[in-house]
Amino acid sequence: MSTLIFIGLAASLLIYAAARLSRPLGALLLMLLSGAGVAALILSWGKGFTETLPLGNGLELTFSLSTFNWPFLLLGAFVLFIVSLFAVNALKEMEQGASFLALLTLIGVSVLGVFGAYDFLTLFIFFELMTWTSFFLVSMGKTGAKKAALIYAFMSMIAAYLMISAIMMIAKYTGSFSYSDFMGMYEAMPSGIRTTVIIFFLAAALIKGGIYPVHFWLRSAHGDAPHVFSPVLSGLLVKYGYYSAYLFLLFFPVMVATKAGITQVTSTNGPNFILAFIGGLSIMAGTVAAILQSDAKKLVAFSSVSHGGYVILALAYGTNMAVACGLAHIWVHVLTALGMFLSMAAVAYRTGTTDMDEMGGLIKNMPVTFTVYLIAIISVAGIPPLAGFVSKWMIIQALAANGSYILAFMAFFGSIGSFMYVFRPLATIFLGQRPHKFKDVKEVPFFMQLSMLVVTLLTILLGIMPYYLLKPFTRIQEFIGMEPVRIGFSTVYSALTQLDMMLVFLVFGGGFLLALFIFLLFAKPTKVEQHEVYTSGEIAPEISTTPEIYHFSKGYYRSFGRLFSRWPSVEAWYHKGASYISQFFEIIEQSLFKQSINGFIWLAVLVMAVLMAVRWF
Amino acid sequence: MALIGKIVLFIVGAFVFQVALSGFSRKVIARIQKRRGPVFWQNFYDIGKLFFKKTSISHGFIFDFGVWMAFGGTVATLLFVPVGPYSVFPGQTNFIVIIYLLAIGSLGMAMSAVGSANPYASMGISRALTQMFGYDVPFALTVVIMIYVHRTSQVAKLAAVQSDIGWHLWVMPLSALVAFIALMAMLGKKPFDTPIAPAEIASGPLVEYSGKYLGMLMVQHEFATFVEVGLFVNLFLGGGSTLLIYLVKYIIVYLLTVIISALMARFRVEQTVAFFWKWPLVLVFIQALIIIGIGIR
Repeated sequence: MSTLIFIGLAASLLIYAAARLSRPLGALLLMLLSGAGVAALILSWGKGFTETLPLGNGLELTFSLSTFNWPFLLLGAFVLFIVSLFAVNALKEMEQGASFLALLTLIGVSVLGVFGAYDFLTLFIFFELMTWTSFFLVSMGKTGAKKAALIYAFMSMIAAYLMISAIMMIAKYTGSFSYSDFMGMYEAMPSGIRTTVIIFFLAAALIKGGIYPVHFWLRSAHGDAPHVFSPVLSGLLVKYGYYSAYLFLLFFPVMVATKAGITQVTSTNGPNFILAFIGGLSIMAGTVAAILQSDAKKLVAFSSVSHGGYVILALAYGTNMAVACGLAHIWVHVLTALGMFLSMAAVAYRTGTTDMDEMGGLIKNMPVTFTVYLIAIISVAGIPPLAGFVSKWMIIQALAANGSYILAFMAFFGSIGSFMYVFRPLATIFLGQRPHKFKDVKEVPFFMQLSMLVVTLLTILLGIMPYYLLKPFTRIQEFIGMEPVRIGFSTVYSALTQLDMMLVFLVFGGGFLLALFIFLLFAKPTKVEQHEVYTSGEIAPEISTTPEIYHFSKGYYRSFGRLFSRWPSVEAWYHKGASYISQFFEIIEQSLFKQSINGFIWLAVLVMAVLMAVRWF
Repeated sequence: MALIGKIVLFIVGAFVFQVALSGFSRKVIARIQKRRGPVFWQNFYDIGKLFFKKTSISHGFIFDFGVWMAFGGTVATLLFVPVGPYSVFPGQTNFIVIIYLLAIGSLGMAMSAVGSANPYASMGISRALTQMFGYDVPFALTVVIMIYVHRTSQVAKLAAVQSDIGWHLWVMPLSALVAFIALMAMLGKKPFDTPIAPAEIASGPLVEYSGKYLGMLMVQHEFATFVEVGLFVNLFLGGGSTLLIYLVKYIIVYLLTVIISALMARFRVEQTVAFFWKWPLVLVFIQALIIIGIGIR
């Protein structure tokens, strides 16, 4: 794997050079590289190895490919594969396209390093590599991206600080950075240190994963990042946060407990419940905020907050069903985030905007993009028979089986609320009246369509055959010594009941064919133009309405927003806190450092006072 | 073959029964308003007339596709709901599948309506989704309580278990109340008919439909009603040991919603959501506490 990392570093230079010549060539190279990664990982199913790369001075980097990180490595390679395929056409007009691709390759290197690490030092080094490359990538976006990148870098620095402190604590106590030494000493560690380490790591994971209440960097980073980079940001980079949550919530504690002979670990204890609760809050806050957005990419960003909440909730909840669900949901979210962000990027590529209030009726121009978006949102909303339903079903089974009503309420809240926010782009971008200025918009070029369709196809297939979605994760459960969830080819079994996705799919398909049959049985309909709608007796062209006026999109959920108009917002609190801090320093600056008569008077008074005091005593 | 026969019987039976019943409910409403009202087979006439109309208007592919999806999704949902002692796929009457599969019908209809490019339709859908967010959360929670207590999420088993412990209507009265209010909202009965609101937004989602489109959506609505009322009967009134008992319970519940609806005025949409997140949600949590505290007996 260390060879691979060197190859990756060299490739980033090569890709830069190639992309200077021609953008598609660079993107194709990256696509081949990551495609080879996907293929190699699929072929290495069931195999594993560990290797070390000595750095000198007694330090060494350890890498490992094993059951516990296989799905994550695959995820990284897959996201890069799809996005670079998309980028073949998409980067043409981007100014810094070549450096964009080179940095994207470095992200690929960081995937290898973070998910493939078997010691904390490697984990941290490559985490930082990811942070800095993505900092530059975010700042390549539209106006405001510089500020967004700064916010992102600031939050990442807090996370990095927490992480390195925890790692140093571990190193000081165990004398090594290795995961296995940490697991060996896990029980023997003083509980204070262990708790601090875990809390620091989880806090870093929450920040990186964009979980409420430290989610706010996601909004600006997603909203202002380059359209091609947003899928990577949401599909891959927040997963680094989930991965470290997975390590500390599941991998280490359960491995340790298994060695001690405990086979079933359920985390109904206090701290884990608090974390699950934070996950639940993230679901709710992300949902409500997403409903009220009017920028499509920010809407999807908040949906990421909500889905990160599901992952954290499920992992923290800790029954074997919940854990399998949490891990599977990471993959489900990769697919849906890719589907939604790529289709938004496709729309922005052709129209130049992501503001939902400006668009409408684009389905006539971009039917493929519409289909991709439709399938992605059906999966997000957890509607059968797609992949999103499997994980929704599992989390609700897990919560209902143990009677966690409040968490179940939060899960339902997010899942039903998601109908609202996913429908808004569908209605306001793709359906409704099409403004005249978008009359000649064309469908996106071939490679963009291809990459989106791969995602769509996978969403459908994994939904009908949940075996392939869940098998890697039940294997993780076996590997760490947990009782795996029972699955069949198209069925999932829980303690409460069973689910047969193939049956659901076939029944729905049958119903659909019946509808089609009834429809075709009767007289043929007449097709009309978009302005020929019910207008209370007026004739639309004659009263000189424009499509923009006759398209309901502004304030789509205004009435819902009124419910929350007086609710506190965490982001507003942060702003307030920041302004207090800057005011405080302003006072110091003004009184002491400003070249004004006031400053000198203050200084003189101070000196006088000190002198007087010295004289007096 | 037996399976196909069963499926056909389910679909045709539900169609005949529910359309006749909704025709009869028009008579009930008429009597409340001191009118004579139409005959109870009037709705068959209406649907037939719509299907056989020579002209109908299409607003593009998604307008058609959404209608197929709505119809197909709802028919599929119908087959997962047990009717009395019968179910098409025994052991597959999963509550969560039913409620999410019902959503695919709603999504199809929403897509089709907005695809008509009429702002009234879009407004109606925005209201419908908002309202759904209101009522589905407390309703789902009432069922989560049941699933936890009885350790199964099969609707058929949840119905059967009530022959031992008594109807959930008596065992969990607060849940039953909440579920009934949510049922009214699901059916779009007053005071929760903001999405349709004929006088405000010209029938909302339905504004652009005509001919066979409207016919299909009417049938789809009747099927959805059959699923929703059926869920309430199964979950709270013990289903039915014979078909007849099930249908009698069904008729009583349905007519009750119709009668209450005839006496009500309309909420605004955010009032609906605020209402559902205030009282029903509190009542469900109280019910959960009671169940945790004293058990089900």
